[in-house]
Amino acid sequence: MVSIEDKKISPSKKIIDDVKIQIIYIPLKSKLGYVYKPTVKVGDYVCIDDTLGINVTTDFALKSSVSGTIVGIEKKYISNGHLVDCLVIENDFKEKYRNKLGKKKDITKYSKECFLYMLQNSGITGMGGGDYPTFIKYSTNNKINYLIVNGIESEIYSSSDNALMYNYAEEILECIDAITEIMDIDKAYIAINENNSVIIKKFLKHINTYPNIKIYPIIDAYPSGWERYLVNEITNLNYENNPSEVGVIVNNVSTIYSIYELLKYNRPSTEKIVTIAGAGVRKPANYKVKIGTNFSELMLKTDGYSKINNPVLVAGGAMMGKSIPTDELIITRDLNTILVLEETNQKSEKCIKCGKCSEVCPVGLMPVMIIDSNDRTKKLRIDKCIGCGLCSYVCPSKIEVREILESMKEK
Amino acid sequence: MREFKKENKVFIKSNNSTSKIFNRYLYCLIPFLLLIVFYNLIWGSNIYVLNLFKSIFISLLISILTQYIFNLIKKEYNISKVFLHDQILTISIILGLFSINSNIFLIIISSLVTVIIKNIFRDINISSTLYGMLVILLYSYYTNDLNTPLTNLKELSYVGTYELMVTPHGGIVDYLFGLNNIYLSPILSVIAFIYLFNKKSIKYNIVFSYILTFFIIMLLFGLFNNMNIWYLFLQLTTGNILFLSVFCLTDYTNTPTTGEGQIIYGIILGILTSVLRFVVPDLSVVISLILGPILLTKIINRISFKLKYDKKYYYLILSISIILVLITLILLNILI
Ligand code: SF4
Ligand code: SF4
Repeated sequence: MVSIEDKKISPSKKIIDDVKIQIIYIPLKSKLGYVYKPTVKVGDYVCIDDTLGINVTTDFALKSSVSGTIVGIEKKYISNGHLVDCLVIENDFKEKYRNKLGKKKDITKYSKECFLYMLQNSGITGMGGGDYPTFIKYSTNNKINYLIVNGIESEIYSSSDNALMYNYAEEILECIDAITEIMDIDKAYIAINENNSVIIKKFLKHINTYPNIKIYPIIDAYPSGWERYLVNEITNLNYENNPSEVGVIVNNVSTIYSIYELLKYNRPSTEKIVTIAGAGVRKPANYKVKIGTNFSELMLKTDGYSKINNPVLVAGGAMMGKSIPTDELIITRDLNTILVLEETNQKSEKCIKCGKCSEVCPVGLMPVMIIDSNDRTKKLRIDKCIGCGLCSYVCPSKIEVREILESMKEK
Repeated sequence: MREFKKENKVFIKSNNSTSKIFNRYLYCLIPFLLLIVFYNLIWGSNIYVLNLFKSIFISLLISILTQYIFNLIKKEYNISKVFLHDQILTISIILGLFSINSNIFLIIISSLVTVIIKNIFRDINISSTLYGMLVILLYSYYTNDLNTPLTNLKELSYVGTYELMVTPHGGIVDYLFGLNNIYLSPILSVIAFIYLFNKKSIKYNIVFSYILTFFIIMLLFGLFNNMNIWYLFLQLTTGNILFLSVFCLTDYTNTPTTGEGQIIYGIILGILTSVLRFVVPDLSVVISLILGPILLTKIINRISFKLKYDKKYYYLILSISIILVLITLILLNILI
């Protein structure tokens, strides 16, 4: 873990939520590679929450975030830097639902089966960057003892989860309580950076009503929001592939909030808070926009770009984000941060074998050894690399260690 | 639509850099120079100061020229690179400090050897100076009798008193500040270490484990042989053990890259130095530090990978280290 300077927007700063986006793009392939077969065609009228496509292998639905007409299919960039086909919907701003249900008073009153069915049909995926269908996490046969809610944002610019927690702490607690009740989970922890006192205070104000929910302060360093680290730190348990193996489910706070809307209004959230920051943005802020918003349209309708040399557009945080060649980037559920940064062009030098990359690697890899030993990469566990980028961050020779490892991994 | 440069990388970087790290080593050498200059100008001899500048100047000149020739061969024509990237300044100052009392011919040879070794074995950086030092020390061994109270124990009825161990080579202050013009200041070496440690610019595990191993062996050896604290003091303050452990033992390029590996490396070199101490006192550190990278670094890097993932190896390494220390002690007792 390494302490990295903080450039976050204060959570108390107003979320900008009044930007009206005309054209919405719903990608037919997710970040993790789930492909959705369209169930609508050009010319169809869709309402909010209508199914637009189905992933055949998981029987998982892709939902519309607006009401309007399907006007075509176009290729746009998504958060992993890939160009994918997207359904184009012309938003009519009528916010129509096909069958709108009333607000549910007590959201704990769902059966487990019903909850899982709703998750599967809602299109809710991990909103902390993972993009993993949430219903798969909950459809485990293992007894779940702990629910860990990840409220850590260790990337230096990202503050969308902080803004969400600041504004919706009560709703988040209500939802966690409901999930623990429905899924018969013993205890829930909300992991928050220990220095994030504003958010901790927000939760503490309401937490007394929920005796099985605890706040768990986590060291303020990068990458303290890493799932494996959180599980080990909070429960002292280690797992091979999935936390549910050891009776733990980890959800990001935004996913929890999305589940809250599903349980409360019988539909998942259609909007998402995203941090837009960096020296190349005129008005850095947290924006609440429709899922499927095109970043270029958002920039046109807000204050836009400021002038910097060699700007790069980054989808995701400064450490783990991907560079995108145009601003035709779609804001999907998993995308929390978009940055416009100035490319510094630091020249890399010869490796001095200082070992700092090995020292900081949260997985315990030895990047410098992996790079030096082409034929033994597997033995040196290159596959365990989580791509956190700390090795590249600390390298005094400014070598892009992670990129080298990634290209070796691909080979 | 607006276009951007596509660049896959980590978009923020720590403000540490290789030149910053190397410059810190250079800054750490300045107090050694200042101490020698001021002390000798005020209380010592001006000749000594002149000799210092002479040796630094010659080693700098020879090193720069030799390095530039190597750079020209590599088609790097910019002379500033010699100063900025090749650490020639640091290397020349270390060599200059070591060759104050040497003749010009010896300084030239040692500088040449250093830079040639540095360029032939590209994994060697500051520690290439060890080869230059080796030349100087071997010559001194050849021309003088360099026996110190550390080696001729047999001839002493009892050892370890202040008068016997410290006074002949100056008092305690002379030893600590390197004012006897024989060894470089241990105190300044410790301060340099603290500075580099604080700036995260040194492989501190190596220094810790090296000094600790050496200290434990010497302490036990002293206790077994009824020697008192001054014996230990002399062991630690002579032979430039602290200076070399800070500046040469931690050479980035040819030492293990993991913390675990660095500890093992330091332990083995500590044992090696302790043994050699009784054969060639002043050369002991230099030889150990030359042998270390040649024999150990690659294999230790491999072992430390196992250590990272299997904790039982920790106990194995700890047991081996204790056994090695005990064997060393027995060996030393036989040697004297
Ligand atoms: S941090 Fe950079 S310079 Fe240091 S060992 Fe790793 S790759 Fe080499
Ligand atoms: S990117 Fe991979 S190798 Fe580098 S520090 Fe992170 S996990 Fe370790």
